[in-house]
Amino acid sequence: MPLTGDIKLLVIAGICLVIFLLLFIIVFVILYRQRQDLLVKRNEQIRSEYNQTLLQSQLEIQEQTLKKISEEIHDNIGQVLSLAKLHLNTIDTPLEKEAETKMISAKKLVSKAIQDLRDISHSFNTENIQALGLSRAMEEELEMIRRTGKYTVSMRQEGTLFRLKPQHELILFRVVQECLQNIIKHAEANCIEIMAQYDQAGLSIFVRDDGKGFLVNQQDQLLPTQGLGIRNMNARVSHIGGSVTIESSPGKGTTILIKAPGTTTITG
Amino acid sequence: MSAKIVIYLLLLFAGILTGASQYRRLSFPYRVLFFTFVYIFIKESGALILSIYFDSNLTYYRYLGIIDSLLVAWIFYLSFERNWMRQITIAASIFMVAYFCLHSLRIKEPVLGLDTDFRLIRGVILVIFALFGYFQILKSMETHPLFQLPFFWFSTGVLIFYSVSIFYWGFLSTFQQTLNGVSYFKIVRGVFEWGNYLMYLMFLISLRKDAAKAIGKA
Repeated sequence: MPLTGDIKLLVIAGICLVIFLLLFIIVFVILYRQRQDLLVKRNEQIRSEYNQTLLQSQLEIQEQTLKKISEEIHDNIGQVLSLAKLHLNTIDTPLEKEAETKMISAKKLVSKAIQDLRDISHSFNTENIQALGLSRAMEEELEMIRRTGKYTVSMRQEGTLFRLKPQHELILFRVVQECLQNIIKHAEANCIEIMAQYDQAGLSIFVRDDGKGFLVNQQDQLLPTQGLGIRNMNARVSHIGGSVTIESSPGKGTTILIKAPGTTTITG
Repeated sequence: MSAKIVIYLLLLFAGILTGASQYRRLSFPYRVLFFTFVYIFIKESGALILSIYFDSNLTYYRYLGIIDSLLVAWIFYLSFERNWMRQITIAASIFMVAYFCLHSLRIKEPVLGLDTDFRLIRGVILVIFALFGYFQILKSMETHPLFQLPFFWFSTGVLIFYSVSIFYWGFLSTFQQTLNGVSYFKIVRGVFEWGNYLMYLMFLISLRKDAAKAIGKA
């Protein structure tokens, strides 16, 4: 039966319908995939912003807590010890030799306690650290460790010193503090060195010790507090666009490199 | 019994088996889809028996067709997340039932024949629901691979078959008196039937995807 005009039209319409349906479904699939890609990117951005905000909040809370502790130490404990030292100094009654020896020893202990508390208070005090600057603050931190008599410490600087933004210097200082605390707690070291390298790329801080070291790729075998501490350091320095790299091996000490980019500097 | 009918019934039976075996994992819309499979299987089996022992089963199809439509509309209603889509679904379903009843009463087409006008309108309404389904999938804020979404398969099955169905019923309405037994009609009829099988195959896939989604969540 020959195809009449109407039937031909119908057949063409039918074929067009099938092609149109197929094209429609293909276009829909493409549009869906594009939208999914956008959604994934958006979700990642939101997650990243959330993590940044969370970290910022954690840092602020930490600094406020340390500031509060610093104030408490200075206002309460420091005052009490100072008063105790005053009382000891004003004892003018003659004592027996043994009692006098103990009295002198007690005065020294109280003086040391006052000095230690002052150091801790300064170390915790955010405003003090920001006033001193990162370099001086690290020197003072090392000096505190040297005074314990257990470690040989040294501090070196290379390049022209420049200041970073106060908030960034604070973050870097806390990370260096954490490194030093880790050395004291875990490294069994004798020597501690900090080297600060200032160049156009930014600031690189090397914290080295000659302790027992550890296998870096087996961080999951560290104590939970050690692993968490390293992750915290990474998170905090990443917040300012920097990085933390650890080089260590058993028996060969540890070097921690903390890098902060040059875009975080301030002029003047 | 032709091979096509056997394939069709086996496909429906596969849907019933899949739905029954995964019933506990299925979400509510896909449990309704499972019961749709059961209903269609029973309907088609009945139609087959009628065609063997009686001259025509068209009246049977005519009066049971509305139930298919309402079941599919109900699945869309349960799957739509936007209120305006659900409201349109209810309104369109009411319109379909009203049109079906009035159309039957007016007896525009022979009572013992198929109601091609109603089937045209039903096709248009269900294609619109399928497009709503696509719109909802596209606007979703969740990230899922498209081919893992049961609603995509359901909507695509409805879109394909009822688009072909609009063409087919329109074709029949226009050429019914002149083209009986003509080979072009057989071709068009073939496309219509295979579109129907494709729809139920996609429904079967949507059942499996819904069950898999439940396993994935667990």
